[in-house]
Amino acid sequence: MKASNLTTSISFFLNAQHIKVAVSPETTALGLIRNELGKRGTKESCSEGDCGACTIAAGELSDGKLNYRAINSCLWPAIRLHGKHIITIEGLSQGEELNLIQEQMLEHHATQCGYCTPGIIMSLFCLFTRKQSPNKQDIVQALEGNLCRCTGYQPILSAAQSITELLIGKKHTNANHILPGYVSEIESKLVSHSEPIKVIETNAFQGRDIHGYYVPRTLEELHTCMDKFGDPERYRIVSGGTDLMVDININRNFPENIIDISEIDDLSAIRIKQDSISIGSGVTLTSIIEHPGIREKLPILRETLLLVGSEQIRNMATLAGNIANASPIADGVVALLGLDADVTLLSKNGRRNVKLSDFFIDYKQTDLQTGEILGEIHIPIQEGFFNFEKSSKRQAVDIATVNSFCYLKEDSGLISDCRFVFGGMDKTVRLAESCRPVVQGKKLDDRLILKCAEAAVKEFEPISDVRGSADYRRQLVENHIVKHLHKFLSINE
Amino acid sequence: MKEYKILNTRAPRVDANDKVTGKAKYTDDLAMPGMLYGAILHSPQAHAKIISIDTTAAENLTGVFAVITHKDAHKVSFGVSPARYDEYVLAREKVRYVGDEIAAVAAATPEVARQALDLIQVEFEELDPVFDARQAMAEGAPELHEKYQQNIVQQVHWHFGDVEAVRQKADIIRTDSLTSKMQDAAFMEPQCALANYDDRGYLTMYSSTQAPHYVQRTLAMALRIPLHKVRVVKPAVGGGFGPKASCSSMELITCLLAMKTGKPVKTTFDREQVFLHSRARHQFFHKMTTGVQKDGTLVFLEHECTLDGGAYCSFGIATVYYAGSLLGGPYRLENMKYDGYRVVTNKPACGAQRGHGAVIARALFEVQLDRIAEELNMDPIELRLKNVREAGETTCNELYLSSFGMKEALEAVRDSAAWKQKRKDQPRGKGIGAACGFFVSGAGYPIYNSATYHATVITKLSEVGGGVIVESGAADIGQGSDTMLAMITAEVLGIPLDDVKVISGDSDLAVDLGAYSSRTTLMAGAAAKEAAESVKRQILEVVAAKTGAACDDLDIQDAEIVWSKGDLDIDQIRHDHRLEHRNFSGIPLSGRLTFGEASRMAFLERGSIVGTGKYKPPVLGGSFKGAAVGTSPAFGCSAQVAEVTVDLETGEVTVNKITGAHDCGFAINRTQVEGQMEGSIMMGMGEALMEEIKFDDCGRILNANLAEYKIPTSLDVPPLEAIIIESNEPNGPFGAKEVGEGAIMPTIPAILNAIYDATNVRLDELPATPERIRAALRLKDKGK
Ligand SMILES: Cc1cc2nc3c(=O)[nH]c(=O)nc-3n(C[C@H](O)[C@H](O)[C@H](O)COP(=O)(O)OP(=O)(O)OC[C@H]3O[C@@H](n4cnc5c(N)ncnc54)[C@H](O)[C@@H]3O)c2cc1C
Ligand code: FES
Ligand code: FES
Repeated sequence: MKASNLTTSISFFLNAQHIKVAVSPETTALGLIRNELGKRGTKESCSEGDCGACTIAAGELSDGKLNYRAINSCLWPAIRLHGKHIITIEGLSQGEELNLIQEQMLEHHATQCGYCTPGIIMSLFCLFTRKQSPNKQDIVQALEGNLCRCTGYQPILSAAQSITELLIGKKHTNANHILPGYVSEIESKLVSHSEPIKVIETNAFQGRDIHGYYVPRTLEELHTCMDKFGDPERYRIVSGGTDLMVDININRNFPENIIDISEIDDLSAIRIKQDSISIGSGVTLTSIIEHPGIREKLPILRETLLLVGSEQIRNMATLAGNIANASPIADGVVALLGLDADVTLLSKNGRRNVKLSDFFIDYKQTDLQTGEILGEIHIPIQEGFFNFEKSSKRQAVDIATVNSFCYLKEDSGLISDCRFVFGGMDKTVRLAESCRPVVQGKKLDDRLILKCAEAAVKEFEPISDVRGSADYRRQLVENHIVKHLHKFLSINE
Repeated sequence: MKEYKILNTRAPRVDANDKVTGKAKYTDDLAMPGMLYGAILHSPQAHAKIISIDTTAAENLTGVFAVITHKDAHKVSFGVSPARYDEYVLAREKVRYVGDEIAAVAAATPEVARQALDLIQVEFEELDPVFDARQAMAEGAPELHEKYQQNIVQQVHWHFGDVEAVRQKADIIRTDSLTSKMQDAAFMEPQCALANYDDRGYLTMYSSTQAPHYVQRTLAMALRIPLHKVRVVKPAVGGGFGPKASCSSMELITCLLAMKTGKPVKTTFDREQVFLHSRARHQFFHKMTTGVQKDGTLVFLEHECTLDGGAYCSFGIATVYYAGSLLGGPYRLENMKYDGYRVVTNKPACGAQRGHGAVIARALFEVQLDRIAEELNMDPIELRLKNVREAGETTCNELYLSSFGMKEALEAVRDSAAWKQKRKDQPRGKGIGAACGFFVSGAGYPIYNSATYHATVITKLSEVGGGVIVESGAADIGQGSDTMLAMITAEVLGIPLDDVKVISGDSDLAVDLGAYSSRTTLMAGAAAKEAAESVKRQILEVVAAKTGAACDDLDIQDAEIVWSKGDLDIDQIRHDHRLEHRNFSGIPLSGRLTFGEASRMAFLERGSIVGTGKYKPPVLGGSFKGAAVGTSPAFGCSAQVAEVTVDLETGEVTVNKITGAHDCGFAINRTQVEGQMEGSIMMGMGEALMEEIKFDDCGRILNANLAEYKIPTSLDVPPLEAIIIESNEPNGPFGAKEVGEGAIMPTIPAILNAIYDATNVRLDELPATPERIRAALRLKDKGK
């Protein structure tokens, strides 16, 4: 890994064009595309993943075919564009001829001010490259990360609906295609594409920019890299980047160096075993959600993760990031604690396994030691009842006020095991310990449910903040317990 | 109704192609050679004296071209209403909210500009702040501006009819109150301005504004430049909804930086700055006492309102008047008393936002009507139907309703939503509610005192024949006014929409007061109609002279000249035209004289053919103080029915459906009318259920981002049914009037009334978050 001054250039395809360009570590994909490459169709509106105006399609080869995912380009370091095929709004129409999505958006008056429109079209584009006939829910899910203040969404949803109908009916309009013609050519070119980037460094570190951006490809390289800096204050690990990049963009907390672990093959696997599932720390939430083994063996994880952020966020974010970020309200953490997961921490000296319930020490503090990263998450496959609840103000892209998870096991009508986990109630996500003695060995009924709720409420001393007052949070705890247990009863009836 | 070729259709927007291909250029998409980047230092203090500002270190930073403070600006105050100018380009002497602009930098890159800001040292002497409007009015409260005693910017004391005299006639008298929170317009495009000051002293600013005209005037005034040397151009704008309707400090600062450096300068707000600058929805504290007779006849309304408007006046005078005046309709209410107070506090300044001033007043009044209906054991829609006004009536505050489809709108939503049945049959937790709304179709008077035309349009035939260019100052900010202007022009001229090109939003082209008060279709539309008619007359005069036909017997249809007496003899004309256009494509060989040929002929005969149109409302309103606010050449009205499900455990509300009917007079473009209705409804839904700016104890916004300031997403959108009512407004072009803002009026109260129907709890504070509903449910349970 050699250092160089801004000379490292990345190489990728942007629409039909091959791009080779020098980037600095703090440049975002959005900044590069808009400012340096002059593609101004992609918009910036929030810089923190909330609005989707900056959505681009990021294509990666899988089995020789390009697979496109919607990405918030404001949250992607530009370096991540390397080796990808990026499609922006400019890449959809060919000459005068509109892409089918553009044409239907136009016909349905699904654009008013138009500021959200490129992002919305790119989200729909990614949807339609994967699904010819998405249902209403697929459409809404693809669009939940794109805000539009003008249209009320209805015409956008109608446009999407009619695209589906046109695709199913194979009806010919002037623009009956989704994938631009140049895609197949790029598929073949990408196969023999350039060397992976390993490092981008500048000498300009002044606390306002990032000195080095490292992309180790193996664990060994990773450890060497971490060793080089020693002091963990000198670098930040980035996985999906959805927490870290917000910190950089909004709080302007520039780390001296970034170590990007997303290219380490050893961290990118999901392994389904007889009695457990292991998820590498580089796996995106979308990959977990779409994994057939998870769908079969651990549907609750899929359901929970579908409630995290938006389609774009899930396409970038990882479960490991959700854990390592140690937010007291992280949805993934709530589910994993409820599922009794443990994590493998890796360092050059080896590995150690830690129960997730022991991993969180204090607010935003974990058991991760210097030189360690979170390598893998292990979830036991268990029989029983699982349920996740999330209370937030709106239905999508919303951090919860309170979230919770419930696991129950029943033996001949009596509760034989249980776990109740709450987020948003303390400095870390944690188990509500006092529920167990209330229900363990008992038969669940309305009276017991209330007692259990009472116990849970008593256990927490929540704070008041923007998302809700302490009092409201307590009420939510009660509601959640009631909801979990009523669901359990209704299933077991 | 007359048959139209273009109007009343669902023609695609003229700018849609550019918008779906990403080609539309917004201000931040523009760049100029040598351009610098502007950045603004905002106050971290809510209320403080500025002791000193040291910019030395910032000036010495490499890449910095200028650092400015108030010392670099003229001491000229500005604002919205000339009588209440209370802002300076950069803060003088003191700062009044967290976010007030103190200094600014122009630098080679945005990053350097930001670094330079960090190097500016400001010394403050803290002053006591005041964050609550009622406290701000109290004796001994900290004073924000010398000129506002008790921090009151404007008071209104209106009394129409005689409330005291009729009080006895009321069988039921109810008093209710409702408090809202400051809200944000949350348009998708953060404000941006790009200014260039050339060697001849001409200033050009591209800006994401809703009102190029007012911005032009403010720039000229505050920067001391002759008006004619200031040009404001509005590129594509990514939504405005009100906050972009006045000149901002950021625009002035950007110009000042351009003037100081002699280089183009661009400043772009980040999302936090959008919240800090605000100029969005005020916080309202309403209290209303309404009297009715047993049969439901409204007798009187006594209304008190305090508006927390943050640190400066902005649109505040208009806001406090609107909050009272727009309750004059849509009901027959002959006795109305209103006491309004617009107050300053140490928070970001509020201004106009969709449904200016009237939204929360409407919400409380419509909620109160439902409570009254309940007491009277009357159906809420019947109660409303009993009281609604009709066309030809004048309200107690002298607003004349030249067209008024209120009754039709109410009946339409009642029937379409199966109101009667759902009202009866729904279980607890499910509810249905209705409400009406009433709004101006263009402010009757400009913001500054003037006899100016409100809109002018210049329509020009392309000299080579065939095309038409419409030049207007109107600001298309997404609402679709360019399409409206093109459709009206094409209809009048009998040509396809594609042959009309609209150039707009440029203060050099024509005058237009801007996109606010739902005025553009009525006013700019009327001017465009007149301009197109003039052009048409000129063409036909030339055709008449050339062919000997009488002008009155000629018309243009489908881009051809039609003579009601038969076929014109055009052989010579066509021959000449073909000769002139040898080797051109599309030159007609047979058939009627085309619009293109006629246009060319008109040019050859008379030179450039230009038609002008203008619009100014007639003198409107009463003679009482403040009578001007609320006047309008026409009034839009609407009714909505909301259906909701409330989770009685968590207080979460799901809106299942909203049925809305709006009287827009005549739909120039049907889909665009529906689009405005749907957009309004969703914004109203957000305001009703989730939107709320939160502050900490020091006046800092806690949720200045789109993560914690929630607006609805595609997951929140219920089925929306938009019903268009067309009452044919005599004062509007082709009968058209507003839809842009009026359609938001009923949404909040319809939802609140539905929540009550579902839960039997009333809220006196907005938004109706799960937390508030849950608390109200608990309170009610305890009461039992
Ligand atoms: C718009 C938006 C919406 C969101 N919505 C939700 C939501 O609904 N629910 C929710 O729970 N979260 C939400 N988040 C937060 C975030 O997306 C999740 O926490 C996500 O899982 C983080 O994963 P990541 O890979 O992107 O993390 P990163 O940003 O890459 O990393 C997060 C932190 O963990 C550290 N880190 C990452 N990987 C490792 C590792 N392997 N070893 C050691 N340290 C590591 C990083 O240094 C960093 O400090 C949202 C974020 C955004 C921007
Ligand atoms: S700019 Fe809003 S998500 Fe990227
Ligand atoms: S069209 Fe304006 S934000 Fe979507």
